Amino acid sequence: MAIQEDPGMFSYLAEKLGADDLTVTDVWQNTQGWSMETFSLSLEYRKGDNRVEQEIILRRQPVSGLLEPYDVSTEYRILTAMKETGVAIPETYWYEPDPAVFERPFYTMEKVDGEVHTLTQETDPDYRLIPDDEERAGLAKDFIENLVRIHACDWRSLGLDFLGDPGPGKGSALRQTEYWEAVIERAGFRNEPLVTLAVNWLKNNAPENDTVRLVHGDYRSGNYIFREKRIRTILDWEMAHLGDPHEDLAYVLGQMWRSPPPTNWVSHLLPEEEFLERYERASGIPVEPEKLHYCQILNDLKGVGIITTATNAFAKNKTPDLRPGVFGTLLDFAYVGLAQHLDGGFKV
Amino acid sequence: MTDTPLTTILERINDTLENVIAPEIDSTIVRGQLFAVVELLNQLHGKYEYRHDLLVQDIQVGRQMLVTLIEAFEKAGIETPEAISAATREVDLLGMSGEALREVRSGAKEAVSAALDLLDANRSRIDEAETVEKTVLGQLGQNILRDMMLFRPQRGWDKISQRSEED
Repeated sequence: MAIQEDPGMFSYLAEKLGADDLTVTDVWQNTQGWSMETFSLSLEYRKGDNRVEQEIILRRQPVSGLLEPYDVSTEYRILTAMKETGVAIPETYWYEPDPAVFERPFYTMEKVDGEVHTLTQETDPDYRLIPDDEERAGLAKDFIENLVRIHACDWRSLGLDFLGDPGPGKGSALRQTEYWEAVIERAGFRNEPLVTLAVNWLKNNAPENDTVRLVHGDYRSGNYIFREKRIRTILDWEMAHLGDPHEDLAYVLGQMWRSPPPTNWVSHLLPEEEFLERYERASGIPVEPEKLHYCQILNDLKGVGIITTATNAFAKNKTPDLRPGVFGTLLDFAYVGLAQHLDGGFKV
Repeated sequence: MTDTPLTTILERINDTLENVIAPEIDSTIVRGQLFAVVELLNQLHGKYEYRHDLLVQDIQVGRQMLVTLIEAFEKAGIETPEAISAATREVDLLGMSGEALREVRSGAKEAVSAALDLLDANRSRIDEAETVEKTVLGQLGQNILRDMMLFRPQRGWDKISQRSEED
């Protein structure tokens, strides 16, 4: 039953919000996402003597998707814990584990007004995603500052150790390699020769990391809400984990979210050297080129993991959504990136 | 190349057309066209597979990789397990159906993957193990680039035709 027509949902929301006479006046579902289901609810209710109009976001665990297995509570716990860190994030309201309420677990949060970049190359004749230089400079500044704040989080005191401390030394690299290897195994692609080459290389060349940080895991243009030249909130924390901050840096440098030549700006925002130099200066974390190269290969493997999971969801009929099948056709792109980076990794 | 069989892709498309899209269509004309699409796709079922020559090429490249790896094992005095060497034996690829070719290709990939793991496990005994891996990567790269060339550019979801405001 649609939320607008579900009296049970009305009374549930009223109880959670301490409201009377609540109605859901509009529901809009984001159809651009490929993973968590995101609904925007427009509510009207009475609280005491006041008439309230409020918009909230409801993020529901999907049946299937690109980042299986899902646990929507992880994202909720991260965002809730990070409330006071200065990172641009929405305020969370509550988590609902009971699938009887809305078919699957979900959480709710503040709706942040603004826009999200879609990574099309057709915004202006020069193929710039953000044609206004002043706006791009403002977003680049916030983009770096938020990343620095994420990496500076004292995750232990925030209670984020539930994400799993990989420990010192090679723990960060090996844990992520093994995680994505298992994802690819579940999707039925572990026996692809390129995957085997990559997994073995990543295990044999794992770098040391003694300062474990919170890693966003999907940090790029398209994953933040902006307005008036400022980033208002960082989105999509589904792949957040504890590990080496170079993972996020290598991800930002990814070819998929660069502006086309001649600019080749990272995440459509700024030149690579400038991004790394400003990040290093602001964070105090030295950027190590060898680690960046390692993390590029790791992120390529992650891309293969996500795409093969989508392919498997499509082939096994886990969802009536055909888009994972379309996403699966991009596997060769992920393979090309992985093969190219891996080729540079062999010391011959 | 994707490993999803063409029959599965057709089944999935028809399932979504029937159960997700059809219930949303009120126009009998559009429903008629949808019926035609579903039926045409149904008739393709079981009659078509991926191009025979591409599957054969995948299998041949798989064998090249196995030969490279087995030579390295022999030089190091490492016995090649039967499951790996069996995948290098010649079979009549021309006389095979698409489904049978896909099975041979899967077998070749599994054998290469197992051989790469064997190489990794014996890295200290094999001279220039990374050179062997790099050679295998180069062989693999041929087919990855070939598949890239077959890719047709995608449109964004918002570029799909839709009714204009004036309609």
